[in-house]
Amino acid sequence: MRTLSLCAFAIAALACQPAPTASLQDAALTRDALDGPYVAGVTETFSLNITPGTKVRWSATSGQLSAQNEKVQWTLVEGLATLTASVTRPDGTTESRDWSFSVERESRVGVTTARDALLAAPISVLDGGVETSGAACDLAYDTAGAVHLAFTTSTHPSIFYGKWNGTSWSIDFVDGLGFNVGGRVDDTTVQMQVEGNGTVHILYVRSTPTAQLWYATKSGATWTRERVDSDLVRYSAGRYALALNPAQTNRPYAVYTSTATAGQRIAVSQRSAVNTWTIAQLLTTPTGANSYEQVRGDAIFANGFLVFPVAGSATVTSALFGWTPAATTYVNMTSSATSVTFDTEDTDIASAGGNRLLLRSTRGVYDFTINTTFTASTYTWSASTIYGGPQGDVAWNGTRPVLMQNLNGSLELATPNVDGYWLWTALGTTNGVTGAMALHPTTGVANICYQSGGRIMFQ
Amino acid sequence: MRRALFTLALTALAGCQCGTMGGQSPVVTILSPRDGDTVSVQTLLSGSATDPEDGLLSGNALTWTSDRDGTLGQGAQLLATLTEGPHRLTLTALDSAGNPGSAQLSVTVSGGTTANRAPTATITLPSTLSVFDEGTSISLAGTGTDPEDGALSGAALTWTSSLGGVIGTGTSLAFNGAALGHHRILLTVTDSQGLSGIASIELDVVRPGTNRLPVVAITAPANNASLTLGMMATLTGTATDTEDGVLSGASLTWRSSRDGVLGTGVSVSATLTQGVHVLSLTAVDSMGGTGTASVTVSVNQAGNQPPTVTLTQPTAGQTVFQGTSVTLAATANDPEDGALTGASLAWTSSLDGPLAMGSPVSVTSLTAGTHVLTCIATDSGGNTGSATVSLTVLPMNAAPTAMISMPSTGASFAAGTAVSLVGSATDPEDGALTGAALTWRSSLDGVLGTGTPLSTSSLRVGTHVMSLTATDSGGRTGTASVTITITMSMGNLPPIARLTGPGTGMATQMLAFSGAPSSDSDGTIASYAFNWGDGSAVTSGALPDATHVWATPGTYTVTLTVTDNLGAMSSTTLQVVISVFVRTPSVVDQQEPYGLACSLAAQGSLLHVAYFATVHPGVYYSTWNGTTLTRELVDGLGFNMGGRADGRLALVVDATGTPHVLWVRADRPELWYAKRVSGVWQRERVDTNLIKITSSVIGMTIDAANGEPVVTFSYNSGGERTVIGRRTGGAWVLSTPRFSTANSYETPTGDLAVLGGTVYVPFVSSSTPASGIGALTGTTAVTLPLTFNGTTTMASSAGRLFLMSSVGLHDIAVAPTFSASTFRLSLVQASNTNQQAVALDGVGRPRVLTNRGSTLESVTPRMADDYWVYEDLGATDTGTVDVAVDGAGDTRACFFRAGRLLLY
Repeated sequence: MRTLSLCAFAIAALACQPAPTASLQDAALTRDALDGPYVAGVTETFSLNITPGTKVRWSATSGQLSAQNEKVQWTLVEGLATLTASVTRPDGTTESRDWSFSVERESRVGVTTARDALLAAPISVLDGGVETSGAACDLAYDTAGAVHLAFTTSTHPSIFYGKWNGTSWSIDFVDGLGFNVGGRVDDTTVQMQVEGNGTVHILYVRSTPTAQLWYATKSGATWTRERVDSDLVRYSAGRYALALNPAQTNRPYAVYTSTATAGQRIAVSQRSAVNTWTIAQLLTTPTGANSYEQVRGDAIFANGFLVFPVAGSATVTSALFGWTPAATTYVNMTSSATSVTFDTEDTDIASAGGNRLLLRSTRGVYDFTINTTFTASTYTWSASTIYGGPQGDVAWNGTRPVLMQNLNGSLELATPNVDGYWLWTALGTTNGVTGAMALHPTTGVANICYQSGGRIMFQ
Repeated sequence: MRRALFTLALTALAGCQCGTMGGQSPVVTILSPRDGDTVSVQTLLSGSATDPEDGLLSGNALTWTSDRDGTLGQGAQLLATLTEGPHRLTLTALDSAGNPGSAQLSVTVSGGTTANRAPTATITLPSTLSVFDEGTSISLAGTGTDPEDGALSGAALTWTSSLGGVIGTGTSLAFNGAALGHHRILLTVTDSQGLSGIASIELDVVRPGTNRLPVVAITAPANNASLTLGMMATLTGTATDTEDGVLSGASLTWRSSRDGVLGTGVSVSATLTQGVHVLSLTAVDSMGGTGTASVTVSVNQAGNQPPTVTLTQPTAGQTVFQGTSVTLAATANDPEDGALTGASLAWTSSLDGPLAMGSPVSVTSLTAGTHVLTCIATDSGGNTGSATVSLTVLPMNAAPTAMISMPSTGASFAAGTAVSLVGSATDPEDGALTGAALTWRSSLDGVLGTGTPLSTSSLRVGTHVMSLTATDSGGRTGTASVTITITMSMGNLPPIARLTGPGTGMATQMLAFSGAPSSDSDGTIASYAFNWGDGSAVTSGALPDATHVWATPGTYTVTLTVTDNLGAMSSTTLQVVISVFVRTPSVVDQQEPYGLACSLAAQGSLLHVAYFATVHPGVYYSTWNGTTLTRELVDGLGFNMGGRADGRLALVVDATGTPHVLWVRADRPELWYAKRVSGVWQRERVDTNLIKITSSVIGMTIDAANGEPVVTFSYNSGGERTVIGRRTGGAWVLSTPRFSTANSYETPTGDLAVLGGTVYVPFVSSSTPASGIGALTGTTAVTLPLTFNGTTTMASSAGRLFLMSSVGLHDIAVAPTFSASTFRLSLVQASNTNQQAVALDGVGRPRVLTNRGSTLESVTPRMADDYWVYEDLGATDTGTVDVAVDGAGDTRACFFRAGRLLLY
């Protein structure tokens, strides 16, 4: 991965090449030809857009390198490496700049752009067959540091769950097509929450004959699958969310967009007992006479509220809902100074400790403090880029936020530097549409999952 | 090509600025050493720099530097004296305009040297580019020859596949269960001191029935021949194809790399222009598969003798890992000019194009693949000569690093004392290497065993170089060694047990192992005992080779115990991973290769299949016991008998093993039935001229109550009508029930079933219901509406019907009032499938065959929870497929691929 130093917003005017810039600190480093993460043994070509007449000398701390002024071919070696460009301008001034990369090991057999040998390879399921991964994954750590991964496959649409114990992955089939069991899984969505003790909760959609919201949890070696919505309060479409209520020993709550006479309404379904889901449909919307209200992202418990983003069709088109069994209140995002809307269905929420929440949307990062009177909750807004991609995630590492997002096919991590400005780290490129991030509980190291070339990647 | 742009610009300026003022920079390459090499203190540094404006740069334009030793010197080649340790070497070139270009890499300088020379590996079987059907046991054979040790054997030879890692060890080995796809097979041979040599071949494992590509050879002119300018040359070649036989005419096309297409046919005449030509002959078979052969020739002016070239490095068939420095060396002599050197010698690669000039030269930038390297010598008159050699470049793979922690070098032990061998190894790609990846050797006693720790008390008296060789999953090795001394001691030394064999296999399949590499330094091996690790009897005796079949999947440890002539024993182990036996489809009928539809039944382990062959349109019946196919014509074209069949057919085998076949003579058309009695097919017409078949689908089952067939079809009587035919008393009784409301169209969709005297027929209709199952009891018709379309297959058990259609599997619990029956629909695939079949196993659970896209899958409910398990059978043609369950409970299937009948 390439760690880029301080940056602000990018303005891409790309008729054919970005225009040369006077300062090397502002120059664009272009990765040619290749896609995916940076992998040992691969020869990458980078080029620097420079002012004509500028002479560039390249060096690297490892790996074979061959440079021709503004272009350099570099055969990567596993580990951290620094690529340095030193320029001499026609006026005689000089300047140097480093780019740091973390190059991953290539797994050998059957893997082209590997992160992990098991997950990067086609995932063998059941007793044979080769599955192409679907578009969705979710990722979490437990307090013991084990990684939990839920992902979909599309060849025979299914949900799988993987657990990484630090050495190897164990992969479970969770749900899919079967003889008088299971069903076709919507391979574009999945939500997972993991308790600190490693208990896993997965929310997903069986898509035929009519869409149904399902929940799965694992006890010992056994998976339990339960329907979350009902024929009366039927899952409609789009985003849904799963949250665990710490005040109820991590009782699972599902928030989804349901079909209602008025159009679409939010439904909150809680697992009141094994195989028993109690549904509250929010027919009386607090935001006015909407023809629809739809879930727009993650849900989380904070200060006694079940908090989740909602888009509506009335005057309050974007709101952060705070739900309790007694009432539903909201913070109107539309009327804020930033005048934001939840215009995609993939906002992400993370706890920042106490009553503080982080919400990532395509518009940036919102830092909420949830008040006991929900409508009195406050927030600040930080732009994270011009427009973040719909693929992303947010987390709090104990002192600062960490963002993962897909910007025009490039996966990036970001966290504020000592001055508070975003510090971006390039992870590679992806052709997937979803992804997720989790931070190691003690080291704070970020891991992500995403799709690339029909495979679920973990890094 | 994807272009990922990391934009950091604060401002974006309009327009594009391209190029550099003052010309372009030189392209700089370090040819030798390569990145990551360990080199000696005095090392030849070799590089090149080419500038678009100045051309080849040399002398002071090129400067070598080291981050450890500073500036080393100048020039394209430099004999540098380096201090020991890691270095970052940089070669910088400046063109006449001062534009810089540079190259960098890392090396480690070591003061150590070794006199030991590496062994040579050769693969004798199979030949490269061989093609094998999936499921074939592939025989691998090779040799290892070491300048110091002589012929190597046993565990000194390790086989790996690019698709599966380590295959096993030994000079010959059966490669079982090879995965589908393109394999690069690597043979790594390692001498007693841990130096290795490699050889490789490529082979393909394909689905049975896959079209094989033509094999092409050029018989004239010879490779590297010199032709005279202006003289017509005759080009001759051959091409043979597995399916089509000898190819000729327009199937064969000749091309020249200089002059383009030269003509078609087995032989063409051409007058070639002066220069070096790569002449290729490409053959195309009837399925569009191509094969190519090529030779390199020089076309020279008369009156000036062309030079002759002798290529000395690399050697023919040599294999190297990508990034290795490869020395190219050749000599050229010209009758007029004498020895040709320098720029008179040009090197090219069939994959990478021009490489270098002169001899010797080294290149490190060869791409992975099989290269034909050509050295072309040009004399002062412009005439040329050439020589070629093939070189295989394996994908980049860094070597592992091995370390011995015990014993320490210089240690001394009395003979017979247990010497504990402890070490470790790490690989950049694989991480820590353990187990069979670690091999211990003695320079005196050869291979001692694998894994760490390892104890041996068998070392003979003398000074041993003890080496630990680590082999990674790509076949690359790293070795560490220590020297120990074994001193004299009284008594018999135990033998050394060595075991070779496959590391993987499948249950129920025989695997072969050998203890022949075992040795005894002071006597002979008297007996070999193989413990298979599965509780079965130990195989013991004087013979060093043994075979075994594991009944169930698992990981087993094979232990070989050898006993010498004085009764001393030693043991070694080999781990074998046994996987589930995976059946692979087989092509069973090559006589009538073009088929369309099949129907299958299983009786114990015997398969019965009826199928339609299109070349001489007929219905055939065969049995297949796994090795032998019987084949009989049920009906087809004949003189005053028979008729032209089509793809409509059905086969049922009754409880007595008697096959019943139903088919359509297409021209009239007529529905026919035949039963095989005492080896003779008794044929009967089923329909009549009044109730004449018009349906595109027919179905048949056996009524268990009387062992007689029941069939269904439809006929047109002012609209399509369902017909049910029962054979009673040797005659056919036809009834025409209505299962849908007054309709204009109703026709069966496939198989039917009989339960308790009631006939169940799936149908589609133009009225209500549009689809369903009709039940006919006597003359009473009852309908259960179901939603499906297309053709169907059906299986039944007591009180239960299973209807497979394009929408999935309906599981119907038959109620006394059929219309009140309940059912569940299980999706089998994510989307509709137009080819499917269903059968039941011995306990009434369904087995399904479906075509997902163009991939046929055998689908079985998982025993634990009924989720589907999919097994990929590969591509299938679009005709009818069928499924059955044999006596062992295994799913069996029939289908067609490229027109050939395959049984699974």
